[in-house]
Amino acid sequence: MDDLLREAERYAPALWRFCRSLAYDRQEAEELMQDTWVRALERPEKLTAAREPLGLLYAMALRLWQSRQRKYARRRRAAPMEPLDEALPDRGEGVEEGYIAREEARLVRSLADRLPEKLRVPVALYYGSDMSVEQIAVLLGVPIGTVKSRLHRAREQLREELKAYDIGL
Amino acid sequence: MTLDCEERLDLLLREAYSVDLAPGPEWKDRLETALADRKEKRRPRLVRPAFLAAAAAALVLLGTGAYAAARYLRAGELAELMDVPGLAELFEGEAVTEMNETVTAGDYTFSLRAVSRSAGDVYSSRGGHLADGGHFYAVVAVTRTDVEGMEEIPPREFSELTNDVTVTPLVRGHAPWHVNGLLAGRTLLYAQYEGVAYIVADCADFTCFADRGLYLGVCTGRYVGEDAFLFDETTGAISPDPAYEGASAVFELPVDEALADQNAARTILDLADSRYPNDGVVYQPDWDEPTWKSTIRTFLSIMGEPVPGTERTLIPDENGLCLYETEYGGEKVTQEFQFGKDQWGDTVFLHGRDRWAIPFDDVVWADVDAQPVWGVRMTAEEDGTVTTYIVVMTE
Repeated sequence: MDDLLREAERYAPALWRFCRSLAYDRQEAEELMQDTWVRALERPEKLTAAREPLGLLYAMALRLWQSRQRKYARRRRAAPMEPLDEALPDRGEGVEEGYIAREEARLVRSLADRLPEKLRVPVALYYGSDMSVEQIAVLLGVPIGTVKSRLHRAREQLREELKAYDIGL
Repeated sequence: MTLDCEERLDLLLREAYSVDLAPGPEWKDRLETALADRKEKRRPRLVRPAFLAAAAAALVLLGTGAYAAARYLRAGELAELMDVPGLAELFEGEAVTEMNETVTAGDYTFSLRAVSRSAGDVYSSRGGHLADGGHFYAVVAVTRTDVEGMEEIPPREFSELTNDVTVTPLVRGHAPWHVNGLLAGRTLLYAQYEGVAYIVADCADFTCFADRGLYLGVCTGRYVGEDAFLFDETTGAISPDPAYEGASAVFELPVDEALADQNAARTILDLADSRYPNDGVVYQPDWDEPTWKSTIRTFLSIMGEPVPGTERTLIPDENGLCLYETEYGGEKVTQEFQFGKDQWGDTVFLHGRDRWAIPFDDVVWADVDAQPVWGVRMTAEEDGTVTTYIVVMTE
């Protein structure tokens, strides 16, 4: 088990980014990551035999996420999500620029989170987990062209919605 | 440097998702704790069934008070009394979950004492094979409220208490009279001690339904008829029917979701279909049919998985017409669609039968005959081709 926990440590940053991109807030992401590990470590032979363990972990996390959508949705209705401010990056600019950057990022993330699920997930994986279009296609089990068209449609929709805000689009 | 609109949006999106690049430092400790807890308990979903409260007018719930605790044998003691070493280990080992939930219904008191899951086959003290490994077992104590206080139950009453009481696993979302333990499980052993009859029920491998929710149904009678239990078609919940002329009770079972096995579940459902054809309950939609179908199409669109080997890249003819042909489930599938000029995006055509199963969990996975929901998905790509394949709902 110690070896497996060391493996977990190795993949933790990437899996965390994956879960954090999919989930709407930190608590959901923490639960998702933990449950993915619990599931993976209960069947360690699958993990050690996998050619791409990270891909297997991504697939497990995605399945867990999809199966728990309703549970998470109920909780989101019951409790407000955490503020994004503290989690957003600091561009190293002045106080005012930093504030504006965080506001812009918060706005874009909130609009992206409201995309239909089939558009939101590819966007989250592409921008949040730095996955390629090909990797996303394999993970979601859809053709590459489908991923491309969903990313395109998501960007179109976001651009349209962001027109109402003065953020240089 | 000035960014164009596309680059600016890309940058904004990357920044919007550039949050929490590392998990908190405590994640590993929490993971180790979670793994240890899971190994020790393996009972993450123990919830006292809310629906029992709804039936309180007819049933009286007793807690785990001193009276009940002193009165009943522990499951491990019972297995020893029965002289079945395998069962004794099962109910003394770490897989056991003490339940101690008691329900009085009519003239009967049913008490679910404990549940456990065997790793290997169970043998009697003489080496006889009693049950396969991987089965789920429940110990139920049964008493007649009008014969309390007896030290020993007379043979005739004992026979009535045991042979005429059915103990069965039930599955949330499936009608009790359609999917029940009579398909695979059985009553394993009977015993009595100080006026209490005990039934050890073999619930077979119904843990394959763990992700849907499992119940233990207990009722008087030798089979699971339509009148012992109520089945909520909207939520899939199962509860005792207060109007039942016999006695019935339902307990929610704590089962680890990780034990879910879709293939094994499918086998049991197929068996149910073959034994009880057309006995499922057709969903009576509150919504109008187009809304209902549209919702199912949305499920397929979001959660449907492509069926390998069915993908085709089609090129619409001069009128935008696409014709898709393939084979699925041993039958020829044909789908025609005319795309408008410059039209692109996804569309899903629903196939299969128009008899939907109960949407017990907001999502329809299968039709009323437990066949998975499926359809043909066409995606008009920006290059003018149409990617088409079959999608199927898989839990």
